[in-house]
Amino acid sequence: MVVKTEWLVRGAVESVFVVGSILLALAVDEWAENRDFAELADQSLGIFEQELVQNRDRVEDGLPYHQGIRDILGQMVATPPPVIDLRRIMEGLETPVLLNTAWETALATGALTHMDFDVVRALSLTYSIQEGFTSRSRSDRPRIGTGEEMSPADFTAQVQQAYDYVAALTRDEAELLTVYQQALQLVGRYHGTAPPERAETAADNN
Amino acid sequence: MTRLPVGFRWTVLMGTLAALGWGAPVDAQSEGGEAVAIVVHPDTDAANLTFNELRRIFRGERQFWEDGRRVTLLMRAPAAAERALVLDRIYEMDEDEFREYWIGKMFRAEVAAGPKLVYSADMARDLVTVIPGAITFVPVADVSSESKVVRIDGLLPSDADYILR
Repeated sequence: MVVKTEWLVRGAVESVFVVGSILLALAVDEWAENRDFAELADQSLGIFEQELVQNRDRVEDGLPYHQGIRDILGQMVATPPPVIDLRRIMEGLETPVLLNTAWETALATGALTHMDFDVVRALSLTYSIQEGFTSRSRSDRPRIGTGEEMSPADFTAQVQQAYDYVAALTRDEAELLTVYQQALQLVGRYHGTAPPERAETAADNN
Repeated sequence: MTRLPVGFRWTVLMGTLAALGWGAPVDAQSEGGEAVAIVVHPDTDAANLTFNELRRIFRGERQFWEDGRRVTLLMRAPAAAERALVLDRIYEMDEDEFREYWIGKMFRAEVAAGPKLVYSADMARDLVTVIPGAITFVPVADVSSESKVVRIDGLLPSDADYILR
């Protein structure tokens, strides 16, 4: 009887140890997995931050130039220039090339699912606005005629169209800069870094 | 997030190359042998630059003025005589090396974008007066009374030892 009791006690203790070991192993595994996911999310936030800074710098770099073009086109609306001048201005006009690699990578790796919802929502909004900007700056760009087939009234209308396009472009760029700045603040809060400083920008002079 | 169509990527690449002067039209108004003035936006707090400072600005190594404004570099399209002079004296590069230089800087994210292209001296002169932080170069004959010409190593384009001629 004593032997049987000892066996039962030993069995119970061993069972507790086995189950405890399994639970501990599972807990350690889950902890390691959570840590990996947290690292992935943090790494992604770092990449988002770098990309947003690059995109912001590109917009910031082009904005004063576009504002200058806008002001010159504004003067041209009152006194239309030779067609060649308008064509040259519009041909030289470049819109910033903006990256969305971080967003695509985060989607592909599933990193977004491990981030705070507020950050994901802000990033989604940022990239949507950015995509809308890129799309509009491409599709709304006016094509300037050669001048031979245009009446003076038509040409004046083209100058106005070019002005409207560049004015909208600068407005969109100023808005995009604000969006980037806010997104960077939010990402910095979760990533644990202060948002990178920006110099006085043309948006401030808009 | 949709991927950009291949055609658009080509357009962007060709646009970047165009900004760096690849395939741009030849300017028939180019003149040779004339001094080239360095002109900045009137509000820019720079009346004199050393040649080394000028080189750093043109090479994108210095991207902000002392007041924190971003430098906007306006470059003439290829085949303008003043561009050839600037490439020779300031960059010490030919067109191919210049293009490679700026694309390399953009790839390494050392600059946000390359110089902004202008197709005539008039456009350069007009734009530099309306873009805060802008800097460009124009033949001295195209300098207007509104232009703020910067001394290089204390010399103006009218001085005999001026470097950009």
